[in-house]
Amino acid sequence: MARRKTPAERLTYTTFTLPAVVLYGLFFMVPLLLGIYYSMTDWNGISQSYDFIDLENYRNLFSDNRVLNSFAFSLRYALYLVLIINVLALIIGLMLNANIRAKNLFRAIYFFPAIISLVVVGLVFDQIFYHAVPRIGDLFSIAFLQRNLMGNPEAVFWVVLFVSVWRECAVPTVLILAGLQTVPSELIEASILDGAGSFMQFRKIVFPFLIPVFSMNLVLTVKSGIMVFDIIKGMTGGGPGTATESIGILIYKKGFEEMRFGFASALSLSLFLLIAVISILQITVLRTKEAGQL
Amino acid sequence: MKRIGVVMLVLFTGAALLWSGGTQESDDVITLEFFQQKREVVDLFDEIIARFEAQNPDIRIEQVHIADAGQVLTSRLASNDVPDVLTHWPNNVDYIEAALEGYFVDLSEDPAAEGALESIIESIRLSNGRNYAVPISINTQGVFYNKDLFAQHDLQIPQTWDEFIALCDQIQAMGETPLIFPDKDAWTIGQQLRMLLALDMDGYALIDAVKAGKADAADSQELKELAQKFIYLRTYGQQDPLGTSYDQGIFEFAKGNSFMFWQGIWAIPSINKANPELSYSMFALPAEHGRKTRVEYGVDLALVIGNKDQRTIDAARKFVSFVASPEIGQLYADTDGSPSALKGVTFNSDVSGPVVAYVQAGDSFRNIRHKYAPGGSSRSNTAIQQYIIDKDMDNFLNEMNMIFGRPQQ
Repeated sequence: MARRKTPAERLTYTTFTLPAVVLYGLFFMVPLLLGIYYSMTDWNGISQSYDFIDLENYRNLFSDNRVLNSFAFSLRYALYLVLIINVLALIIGLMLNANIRAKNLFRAIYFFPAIISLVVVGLVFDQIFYHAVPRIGDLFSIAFLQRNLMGNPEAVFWVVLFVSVWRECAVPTVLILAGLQTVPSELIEASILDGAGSFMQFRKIVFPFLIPVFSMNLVLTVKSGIMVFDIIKGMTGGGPGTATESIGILIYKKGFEEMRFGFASALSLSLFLLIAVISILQITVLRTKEAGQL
Repeated sequence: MKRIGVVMLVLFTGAALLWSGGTQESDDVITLEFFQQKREVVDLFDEIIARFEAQNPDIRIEQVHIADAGQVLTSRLASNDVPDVLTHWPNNVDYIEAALEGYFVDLSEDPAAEGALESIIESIRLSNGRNYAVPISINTQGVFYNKDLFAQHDLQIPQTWDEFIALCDQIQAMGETPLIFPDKDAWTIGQQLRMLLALDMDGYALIDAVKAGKADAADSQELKELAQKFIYLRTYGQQDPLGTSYDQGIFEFAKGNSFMFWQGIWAIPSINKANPELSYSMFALPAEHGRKTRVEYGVDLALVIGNKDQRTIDAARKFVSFVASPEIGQLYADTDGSPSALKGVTFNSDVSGPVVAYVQAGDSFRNIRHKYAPGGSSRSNTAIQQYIIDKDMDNFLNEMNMIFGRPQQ
């Protein structure tokens, strides 16, 4: 048992935590509370006067096709992003951990996309899909490749997903690599002596050590999937039409372009609630899983 | 320890004295923040400011140009932090809202606005009958055409809608591309929609009626035909309009890959950059249904004074009058290449001249976007692009009702 703190000590501790509490309160809690307040007004973003309209914005939220469409987009996008990135990161991580030649060079190459600015990524892929991909389509007479896939409302989802995976796979891969370093070599050696094949080795020894890394990756990719904004803003701006309007893009459009701040605040809060619910579920489930494994 | 404290104290006092001395000296020099939103004229304004400061040693102007200026301005106004003097677009709804809220100085009877043409000021007068901006330049749109290709195939400039379609058919029959549509950028379609709303039908009357709750956009046969015209016109476009961005569209036209390109005159600097050798000009898009061919115009850039203390306003007024003088107006028009909204400025352009002539002759109408409900402009861009994709007329007409500002039940 720790001894009780003297009042002087308590004062010291409080003083040290105070700046963090004040800053967090000022820049996170106050805006959040203001957001809740604005979400019940018809504020347009600049006027000094506005009306309090109760839950009107929330009622409109669920009768607006674009809102429903954006929720469907973001959830579908997050689902695929999580699946593809986590599987891919595991495969690449295992490959880069193997004893191959020029290992560090390959590691650098696979990390490269993560350090390019998003604006550059957007511009480069804009040109690739406008000039290069249709040429390939012409060459092999593949009809659906002959047009810019970014202008095709059905295909554009996969284009954005592809570029996101290309860019966002790097960090989870590094985490997997780090996780692989924690597997004790004695265990591997012992398993070889016991006659375990490489699949058995992976399933019984390597994978359990990777579970904490997986849960971390899962939380990160789910969050970045549902909140996706910048990569879509850089590539399609939510178009063509409303084909790639994620919740984040719609909040930006409603707030800053259509000047409906009250409505955009209501939309932000529902996104916040969605993420809160998913995060709580995730953490609860993963905790019990981790506890069961160890 | 004590000695260090004394040294620090002396240093701080000295610094404080120097600081206060500095401001005292500059008391008779006032520094204005000039929030300049148009990327293309930053260098030009640096030169104008240098000339102004040479004549007015007691005023310093600091030009501030940042990315996403419109969004930044919105948040600054929301916290009541209006710049001293700024450039703005008087047809933008955010300008109108901010002016009606009293953020800008009323220039209705102000000598600072005397340099601008009355007819142009008339077109940006707000619903309360007042004016808060000094217009500098105007813009318009029309159809760019490749002069060399037209001469090579002996093609004539169309005077009527039927001639225009016949021309497109003729070019297509040669196996060439008549028009280029950069539909990937929704705003380029939205701007065509705004123009046709006033050219091919009486969009002004329809919007007024919808706003008053007396009409439903879904009942307007003319609006339906207008939407279908967007699909029809694209049969004369390149293979993949939705895959072509604005920059790529300019590139394709400048390279000679299409005979014509319907766009605003703001594209001229970019076309010249993409191909300095290109020989091209413009014509006005003919109206359909036997209506008179007219061109759309809008005030492009205008100067606005922030509503602050009297001394700042007086200094800002001097700067605005200076920019609106015929001499600086001519410099602006020649450098920017846009027709001037100021008195005593002449405009010569081989490219946009034929279209600007309509504006000068009064065969013109004001950009309809200011009639939209707040935020309608951006919303209409998405709506018409979505219609081109899924051809869902009901959804499009319903969106137009909202964009026109139909009262909510």
